[in-house]
Amino acid sequence: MAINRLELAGVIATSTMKPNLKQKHLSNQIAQFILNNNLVDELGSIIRDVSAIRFRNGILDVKLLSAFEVEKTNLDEIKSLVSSYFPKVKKISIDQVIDTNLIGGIRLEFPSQLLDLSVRSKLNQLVRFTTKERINT
Amino acid sequence: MINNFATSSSGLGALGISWSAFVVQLITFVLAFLVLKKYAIKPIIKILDDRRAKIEQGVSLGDSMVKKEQELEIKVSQQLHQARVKADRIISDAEISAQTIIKEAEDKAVSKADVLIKEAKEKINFEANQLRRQLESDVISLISQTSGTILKKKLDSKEDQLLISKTLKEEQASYYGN
Repeated sequence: MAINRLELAGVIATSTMKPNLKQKHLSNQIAQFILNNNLVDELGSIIRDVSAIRFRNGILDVKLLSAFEVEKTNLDEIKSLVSSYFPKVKKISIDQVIDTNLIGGIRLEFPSQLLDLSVRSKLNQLVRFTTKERINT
Repeated sequence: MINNFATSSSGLGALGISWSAFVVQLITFVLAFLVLKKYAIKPIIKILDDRRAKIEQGVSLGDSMVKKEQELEIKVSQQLHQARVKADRIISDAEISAQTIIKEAEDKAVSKADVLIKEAKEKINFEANQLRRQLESDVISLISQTSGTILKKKLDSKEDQLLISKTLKEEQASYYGN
């Protein structure tokens, strides 16, 4: 029986929200299913859908990108900031990724939003604003 | 009586003139005169009169011809004068018209040149501005890249943690400020 992407995302999201989660076992099952059903190309969309479903259920998946490993104190501050942005969220899950292109600072990717506080972003902003000002004058 | 005269030793007779001969000669003369007058003098006079009339006619014709010639000369000279005046006017008009045409052509050429110069200036300014903007954009990008490279080299983990902390505080302040 064929299963569509949203249904699959729903099943995965529900599984990840169970209290007695066996992460490795679940990962293996999902990977096997995706490979068997030729859904590798849709993996990105599936992850986004899972995040969206989890978010609706009070779990926020945050992708944290930074040039260096973020220390615990800063992680707590990040969680605090995210909590203030999303007051209805019960649990915040942070996935940390190192990206040296950011130079410094952090970049937070939410299911449907983005908060870029990186040095690269500031430099890009500087270029954009300066160029825009020049064009307007 | 005639005999008296002839024989008389006084008067004409004394001069040797015979009255009878005289009378005969007189009559002959008169007759000859009359004949001559009728057949010679009159036609000659007529011929002379005719010739005179012809000559007078010719002279008067000549006079009238001279007069006519003078009138014709006057007329010709008047017409020549008028023609010259007309020609002068035409030449003058043509000169004025030519000058006007030249002036108009010059004005047109000048205005066209002005337009071309203006367009060229605008094009040059536009291209210069474009190049300036491109250059500024390139310089800004270069500055950004250079700044990025320098910061990448200078920024270590410790400093990055401080930067993150500071940024988060600013973000929070900004969020609560709003």
